Amino acid sequence: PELLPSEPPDFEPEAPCANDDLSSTHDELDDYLRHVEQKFGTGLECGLARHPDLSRRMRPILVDWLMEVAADYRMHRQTLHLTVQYLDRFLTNTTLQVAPSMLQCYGTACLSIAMKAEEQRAPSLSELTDFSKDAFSRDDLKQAEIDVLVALGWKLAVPTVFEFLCIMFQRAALHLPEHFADLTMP
Amino acid sequence: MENYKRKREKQRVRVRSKYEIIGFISSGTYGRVYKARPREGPQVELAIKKFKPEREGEARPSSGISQSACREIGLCRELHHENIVELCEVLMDDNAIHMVMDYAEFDLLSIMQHHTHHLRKPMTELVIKSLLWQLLNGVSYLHANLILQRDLKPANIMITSSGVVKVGDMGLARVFRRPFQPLYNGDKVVVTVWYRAPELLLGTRHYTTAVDMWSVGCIFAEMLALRPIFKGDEIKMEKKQIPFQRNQVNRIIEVLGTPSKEQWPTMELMPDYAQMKQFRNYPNALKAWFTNTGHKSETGLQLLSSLLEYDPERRITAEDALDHPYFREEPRPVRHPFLEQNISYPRRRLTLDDLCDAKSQHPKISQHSEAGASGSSAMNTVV
Repeated sequence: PELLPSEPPDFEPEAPCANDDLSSTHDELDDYLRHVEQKFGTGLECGLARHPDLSRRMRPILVDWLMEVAADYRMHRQTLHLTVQYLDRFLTNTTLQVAPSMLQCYGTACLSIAMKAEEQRAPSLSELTDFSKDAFSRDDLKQAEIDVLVALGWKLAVPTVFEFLCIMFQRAALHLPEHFADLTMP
Repeated sequence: MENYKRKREKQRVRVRSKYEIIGFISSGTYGRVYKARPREGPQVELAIKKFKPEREGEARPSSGISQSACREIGLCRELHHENIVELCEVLMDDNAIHMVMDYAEFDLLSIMQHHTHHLRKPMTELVIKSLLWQLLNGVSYLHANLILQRDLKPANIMITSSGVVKVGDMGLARVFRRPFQPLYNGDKVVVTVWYRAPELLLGTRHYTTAVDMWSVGCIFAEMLALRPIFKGDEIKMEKKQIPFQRNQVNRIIEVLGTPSKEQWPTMELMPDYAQMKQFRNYPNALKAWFTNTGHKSETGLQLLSSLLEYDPERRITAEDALDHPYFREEPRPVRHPFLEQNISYPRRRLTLDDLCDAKSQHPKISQHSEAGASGSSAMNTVV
């Protein structure tokens, strides 16, 4: 899939925040995010085995399509990663059996929820059904949102690969210049 | 598909089978709040917030579950603190989201109104100090967890019958460490105008936890005086343009004086800075204002002026405010100020009408919620 228009996320806001010294909270933040990841992460299996009607091929196709939608909305990367996290967790936790015809609808519901949590504006249901060329109805999507939220237990604040990497690279950026600069000295 | 629908139907927990609704508390743009108790288990009092189900044919195209409900529940689910309203459970029933939360007998607005209209005497220093300390404690917890409340006002501050503060209504709250985009968004505003910080009034693009601290300052002042300290007239939004809140700004500078460059060096960078030229110069009159309320604590005045600091970078943080000398001075704040002082306020009035099915639309209700939508306190937009 084409690359998304991505800007680096703005971890250091221009204006100062309380407790802005990220370095001092690194360990605590790390521990917390890892704890959440362990508790709510889904592992490589992504819950697919729980749905006999779904095949392994379907997830990458769906994710590809979600990336396209994300590019169209110029969504932030974190939102897309959250979408996929919600999808995997939904498939892992739901008591419903997802039919192949409904997978795209659930994927879209995950996207809609992630956008509500992260983005400033969430698209309307009909915008989203248009995107899927009416593969499902607005009512299906509305119900799917609820099913997803119930399966997620409303736990929406979860770390993603993207977030972990941002934190790691940001921390690396604090030390790497020092390291490389020192290498030039001898 | 039929099978699946039946299965889902079976799993659905009916709110009414699990909880007994005792009465109706209030309504707003978001929906309605009821008082309830569980049908089984310990007899505790609970509040159930029922979000308005979406109806077809509304002005805005439907986007499913409302963004503010999504954020409020997503955040509340993470928060556990004595001074923050606790979310117990979320239920879907009757096509609407129900948040089951701790019940609090009072809110700060109703308590202040009781003092104004019935008791006709000020709140005691012990009560004010205890409530303020707990409010700061709750806000400090939110800020430490990278959350901005963004709509602190007396009506959103719940208080239990013994006097424990529970900050409520996180409908406008959001996580702030990740401003993937600036928090500002062209046609939207945050914080009820009387409690809105000067940097917001001047159209800042970036804002911080300091906006909540300004609101806390306004609330502290309101407890002292029993009326809002900056009771400006809100200028309504027209054509999706955020108007400059001239009257609100004027109210602030009448009390705090015209801000100088020294007081607020970055003021000139504010988008609406040019508007400041239209006001005449006022001296700082906060001390006189404070004396007028009949309260005498010197450290109380200091804390108030640190909270109402123009420069958001210099405004006191919640954490520092908790350590302020005001709280170390007698009377020291307590956890259950109403018990301590043997004060009892009239219990919340519950109405019993309209306990019927929400589907039978009561004409009165829709009027009510519309009034809420256009009222000065309603903020139905979220950034």
